[in-house]
Amino acid sequence: MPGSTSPLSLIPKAFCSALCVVLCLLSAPAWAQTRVVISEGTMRPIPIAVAPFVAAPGQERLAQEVVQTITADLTGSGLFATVDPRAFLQDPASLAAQGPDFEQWRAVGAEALVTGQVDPAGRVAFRLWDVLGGQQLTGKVYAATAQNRRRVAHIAADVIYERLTGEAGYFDTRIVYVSETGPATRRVKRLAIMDQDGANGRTLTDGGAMVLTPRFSPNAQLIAYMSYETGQPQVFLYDLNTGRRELLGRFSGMTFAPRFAPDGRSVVMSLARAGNTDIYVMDLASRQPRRLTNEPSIETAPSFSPDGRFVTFESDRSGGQQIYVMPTAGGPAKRITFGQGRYATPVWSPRGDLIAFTRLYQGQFYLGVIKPDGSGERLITQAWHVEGPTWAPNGRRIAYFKERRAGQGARLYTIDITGHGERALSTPTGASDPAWSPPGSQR
Amino acid sequence: MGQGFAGRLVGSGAAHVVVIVLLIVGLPWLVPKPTEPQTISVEIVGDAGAPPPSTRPIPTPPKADKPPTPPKPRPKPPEPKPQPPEPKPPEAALAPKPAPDAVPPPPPKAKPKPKPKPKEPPKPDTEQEFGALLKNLAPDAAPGTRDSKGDNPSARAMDAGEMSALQAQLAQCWNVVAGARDAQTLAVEIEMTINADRTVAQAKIVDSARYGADPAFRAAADSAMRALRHPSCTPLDLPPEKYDAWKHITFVFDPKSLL
Repeated sequence: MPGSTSPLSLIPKAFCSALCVVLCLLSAPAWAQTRVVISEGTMRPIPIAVAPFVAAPGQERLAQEVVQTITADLTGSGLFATVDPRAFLQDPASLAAQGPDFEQWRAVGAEALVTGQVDPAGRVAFRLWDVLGGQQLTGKVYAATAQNRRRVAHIAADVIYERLTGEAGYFDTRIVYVSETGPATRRVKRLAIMDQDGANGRTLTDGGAMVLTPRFSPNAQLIAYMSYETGQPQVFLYDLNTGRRELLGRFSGMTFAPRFAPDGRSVVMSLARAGNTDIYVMDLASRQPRRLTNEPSIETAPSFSPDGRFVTFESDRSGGQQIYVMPTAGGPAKRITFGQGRYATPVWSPRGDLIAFTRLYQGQFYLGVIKPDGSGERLITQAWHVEGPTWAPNGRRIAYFKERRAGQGARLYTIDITGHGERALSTPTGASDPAWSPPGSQR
Repeated sequence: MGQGFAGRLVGSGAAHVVVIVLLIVGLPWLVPKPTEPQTISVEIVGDAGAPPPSTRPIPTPPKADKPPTPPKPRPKPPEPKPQPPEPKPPEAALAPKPAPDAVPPPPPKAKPKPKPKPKEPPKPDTEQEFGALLKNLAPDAAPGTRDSKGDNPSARAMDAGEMSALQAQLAQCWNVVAGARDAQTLAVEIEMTINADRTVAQAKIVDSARYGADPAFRAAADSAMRALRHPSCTPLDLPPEKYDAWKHITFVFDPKSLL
């Protein structure tokens, strides 16, 4: 009987409302699931222990070198703090026989643990463990030889880095740079290349001509750079496979500040002609240049966005040196920096979210990052002279060169984009103008 | 007649109410049950409902990963309160002994964690381990407070001070994956069931699909998990007498404001 107010229909209502009231009054707090938002945290390196790898007879050296290289990579990233092996409680034999005793690794402060072994054939197997959670996170096996053992270690370190940070690793990469020797008045500058950790370094050019601003091609086989080889600044290409170098286009003016497009098919660079500098894109197959900017001011230091659709560059068209972004296809440029001082050498991050730059303000150099829309500018390091930012391929770390004082000579450094963990890169000579290779460039 | 019936209804309703109140006050472990339909975490509530067999929430720990077998090399028997703020690694002290030998005695793996099987005594024990780090805990945690209370404090919600103490504690343990791309989208939600000794019984990442598919999210989630299990956050800074208020907590680790 719909619509009637039978007493029976009151039962559930009365009961329910009484129930609700009572429960709300007496126990609501207890049965609302507590929700706790943690929005504060620390930013410290992840404590990780790299245990000695168990080596088959004859493989001890390889095992040791792999462990050392992994340890150095992780520490050098600034995102990990490796636990001093002298503090380890679980010995290698027990580790091999029983697996990790997580209590013991916890006791030495490790949150992650790397274990591994090298078998008689030289295969390197390693595992990454979550010490606090007591479980394996990942494990891999690689075939290592005397020649590639460092590379295997770098690849393993990449796996560890990636699993724990969520970003691709960058340890299996190289850095090309300008090696500097001799007194300041007669400085000799050569192209040089090394692994990202400073190992396997060698020079590529003989120092007969001054070279500047080397840049890797996306396949890491070509290096574009500026050289005075012809008497005036010109952009050259150096082939790492053959050692050959060639002039990139014959122009009546000076060409400089080259950078490859993300697809490797073109190079963007500056051309100074008749007292004016503008930006051109040179197609590598046809060697046909296309003019990108056409301003009476100086436009230089171009860099592509990782999708190739935009170019960022510096220009003094506003009266001061500032950073701009424009479509690669052409069109108006948008200014993205407005701070005091001069902004220079914008470099688009490989992951696209940031543009690194140098800024000169009140006699000090700063290295900073800014979002491509001009928001979120952050300065991450500062010195008497800091220049030449270049991104690690994961967009997480920046390499650059720095002179602490006048006449001290330039050295290479790397730093995390958060501004933490600055590290000096060891080079046999003074060094400037670093360029980080794409991933997997070690051959 | 309607009047009389309604009167009886009210009486009956009141009786129900009394029964309910009794249930709530006297048998706090029943309270969470109604939660089931109300919260998202059906599974967790179910889990938690079963194990605590008694009225008191104390003896939950068996849920920890290890069987409740009495771990042999007990660091030290449940001592009284006097907490000599030992350094940090009490395990470290005894660990070296088992370590040297290669095979037979794996028992060091038997974690001391699950030992608090008994009930009250383990409290001071854990306290001792971390007393130096968690100064706020010691006073609150004094065993016996729970028993002495007549009302059911276990059912009360955590107050703002208790909440911020917990947040402050975890802020120290949470090592943020800094500099990640799109950090503002990396908030991680973790549904957690907590043992009465304020250690993690069970923790579940809510967005398990994204955990499997997005390495950045997975790393962020792992870092949140590490925070919850960090020695400096074990036990969690929770008011021991309000077990029902925190035995299920949804934590949200949100790095948005940190970058």
